[in-house]
Amino acid sequence: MTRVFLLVLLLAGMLVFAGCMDSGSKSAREAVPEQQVEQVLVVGGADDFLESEEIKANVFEMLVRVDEKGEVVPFLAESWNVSEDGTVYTFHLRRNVSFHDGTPWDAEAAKWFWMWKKNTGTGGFVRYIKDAEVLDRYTVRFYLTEPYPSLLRDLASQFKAEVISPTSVEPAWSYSGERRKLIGTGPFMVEEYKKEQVAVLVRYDRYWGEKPKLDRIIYRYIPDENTRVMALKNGEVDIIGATEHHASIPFERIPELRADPEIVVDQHSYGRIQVVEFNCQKGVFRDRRMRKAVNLAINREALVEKLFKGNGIPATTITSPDFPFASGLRGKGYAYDVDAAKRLLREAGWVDTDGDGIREKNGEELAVRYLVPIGEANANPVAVYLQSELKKIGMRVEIVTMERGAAYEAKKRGEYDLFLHHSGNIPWAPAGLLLAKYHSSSPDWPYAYHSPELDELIEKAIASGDSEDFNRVYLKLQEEHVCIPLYDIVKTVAYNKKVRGYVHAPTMYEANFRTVYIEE
Amino acid sequence: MEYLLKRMPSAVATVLVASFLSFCLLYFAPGDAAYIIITQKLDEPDYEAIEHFILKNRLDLPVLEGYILWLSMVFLHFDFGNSLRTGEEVLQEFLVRFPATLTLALSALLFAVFLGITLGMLSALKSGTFWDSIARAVTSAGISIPEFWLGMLLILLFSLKLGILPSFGYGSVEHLIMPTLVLGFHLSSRIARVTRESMLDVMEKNYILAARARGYTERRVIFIHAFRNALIPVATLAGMDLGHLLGGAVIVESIFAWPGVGKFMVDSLFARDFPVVSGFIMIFTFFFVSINLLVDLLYMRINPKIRVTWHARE
Repeated sequence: MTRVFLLVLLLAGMLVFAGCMDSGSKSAREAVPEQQVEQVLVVGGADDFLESEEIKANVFEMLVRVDEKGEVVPFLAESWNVSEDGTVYTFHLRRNVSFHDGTPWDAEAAKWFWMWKKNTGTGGFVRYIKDAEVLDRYTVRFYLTEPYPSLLRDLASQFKAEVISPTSVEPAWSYSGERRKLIGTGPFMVEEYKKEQVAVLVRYDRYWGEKPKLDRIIYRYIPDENTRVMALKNGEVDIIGATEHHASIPFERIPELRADPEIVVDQHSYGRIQVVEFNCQKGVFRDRRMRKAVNLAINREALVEKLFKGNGIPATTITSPDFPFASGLRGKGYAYDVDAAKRLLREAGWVDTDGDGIREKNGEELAVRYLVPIGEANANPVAVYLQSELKKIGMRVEIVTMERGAAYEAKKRGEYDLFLHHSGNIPWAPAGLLLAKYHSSSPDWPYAYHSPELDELIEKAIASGDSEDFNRVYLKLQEEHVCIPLYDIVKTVAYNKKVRGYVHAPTMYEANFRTVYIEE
Repeated sequence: MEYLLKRMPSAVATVLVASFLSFCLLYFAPGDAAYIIITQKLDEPDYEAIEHFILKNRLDLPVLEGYILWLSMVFLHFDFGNSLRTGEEVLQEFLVRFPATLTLALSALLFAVFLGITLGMLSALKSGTFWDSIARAVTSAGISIPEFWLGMLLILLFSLKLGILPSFGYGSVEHLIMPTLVLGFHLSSRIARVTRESMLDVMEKNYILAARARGYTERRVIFIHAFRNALIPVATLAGMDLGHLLGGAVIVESIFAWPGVGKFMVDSLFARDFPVVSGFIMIFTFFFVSINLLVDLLYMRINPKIRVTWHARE
């Protein structure tokens, strides 16, 4: 009895074993380019294809997009106008655009998209959707329940509004259909997708814009960052770091990649800044002088130079002044002045009375709790650096590292003095960061800096959508020392030198392979 | 058969308790599935969307009610629910990844058992010699070298220096070699240690002395009389290891981009995706319990005395 049972089990195991091996190897072989003339780019990415907005940007497009300054520019819509009351948007669609399965992109498809979003979408503009109307073949009108000034920026977001074909849902053209296929209008179409393994994209020959030079993109999922680096060095993938918006190549491995003659390292700033947030409601950093002292005490030049060997750009403003909505910050950056920092601490009543190098006030030591959520870029070296810098001005830093979910809960309860985070810097959402972090209604950051005056400035900027108004908000935040900006997390892409024509996309949420070609 | 029936109730209870514990732990752990998942999807929090997500997925239910609802779906419809993170069916998510996990688990276990028993026997039979020291050094290394480091070293050697194996991926026998080596090496060390101890122990027994006294050849004494008896703790260990392996190998899966269940499980844990975590844990527990049963049956094959004892207890 048992013998038969064991035998069956063994056989079953072997069959499964053989089965996976066989099916797998076939497709892996197919993925290898057969002719020399075929232009194939092999990409190594940290996330599954469906979870990487960056690689999907080659397959899906939006009605509008933002340029590198965050301004909304035409994409699948050529122009648009907004009614006086802000509730009716009329879009004139780009002509001669079709989805990968041949379905034409026209007012009917746009109307379907809008109504499908209303029924199945999540977040942002979705809750303001009322109705849509087809005016003629290439003109569509979107109705909102109430004015929503961020609509165009939302429509420019891959996360919220990538346009899919009405035939990609089941049942086709249904407003409540379930998404089943990957059909967009982009320069590449999905030929094969294997969850958490590979996606093969092929050029779409009827693409409306400039035809890409590549025939194929093979996107390989490699979750481990060090393996991605090795795979690039070994020639198994051609490019890494392009399909993640966070710093996906470890900074400490960049010098080694630079030294490799076969590899090109290409860096670009998107104004995404790593910051440390203060607890402005509880503890020592309620006092603006204390926050200012810390900002004065950090040598950002040395941080970037010593820790990252020059990769990264020191940041002294809370968001990049390159954005039009924060251009007023230019020249207002925080200086490095340890003496001034010490003076401020003394002024605030903190003096080292027992000579142990740490200041005291009313018998209490100047000790702060620095909360680090796991997964932030370069978290460990930065933590140690902060600790040593702040010790120089007589402040003890206790580093507490926590799993992300737990860290965010602790943050909501205010169990921190310092909290490692990054500035949002989403070009299409200058308001997102303000509402989510610094407005007093923010459920996630109840212990960040809040004041009625700031609330008023933020509300005004969001209502008007005007850059001047946003600038006022950012200036106020900068003056109040609401956080410690550390450095600009530059996007680092590394590729084999046979890869030519790589140009950084306007936003960090896009891996731009439209202009890439291979030259052996 | 009778024995199997006897063991059934406790096996089912184990599965239930494990699923309940995992459900509760996730419920009470800090962090909120709706917030984490929506923020991940939109790259910024959106509170109305979070609210909607909570209501849609019934995340507002008290823990017991939520668990009973989930459990009744599992038992009445064999429906583990949908992943909060990916929106796909939990069972589907499991089945897509399980072939990779099973392949790696079986191949690593096979390698580990072979290497482990060889090293352990060598070490035991040549106890105190140079060979014993070598074998023990290898097993110490296997236990103490972290998997991620060994993985990187292997990639450096086989992919970068020698260029004979792909550094990552899934699909062919070449892809399987390095993950098997890394995972199997660690396990083999434990198996070797247990084999060594067990062999040394058995070799001291009187029946071995008796067998020798009867003039059996040394080979017969070792392989027929001693080895078979020494194998029982090894089988237990290998069974437990297989149970663990079927739960996925997070680090090895990450390093070699092996599409198994482990990394998905951990990602789900971080996202507090409780249908996935509870469902997967339930399936893992089921495997674990089944394997334990099988190992017990295997004992009876290895050593019929156990069967006799059990019947005698009846």
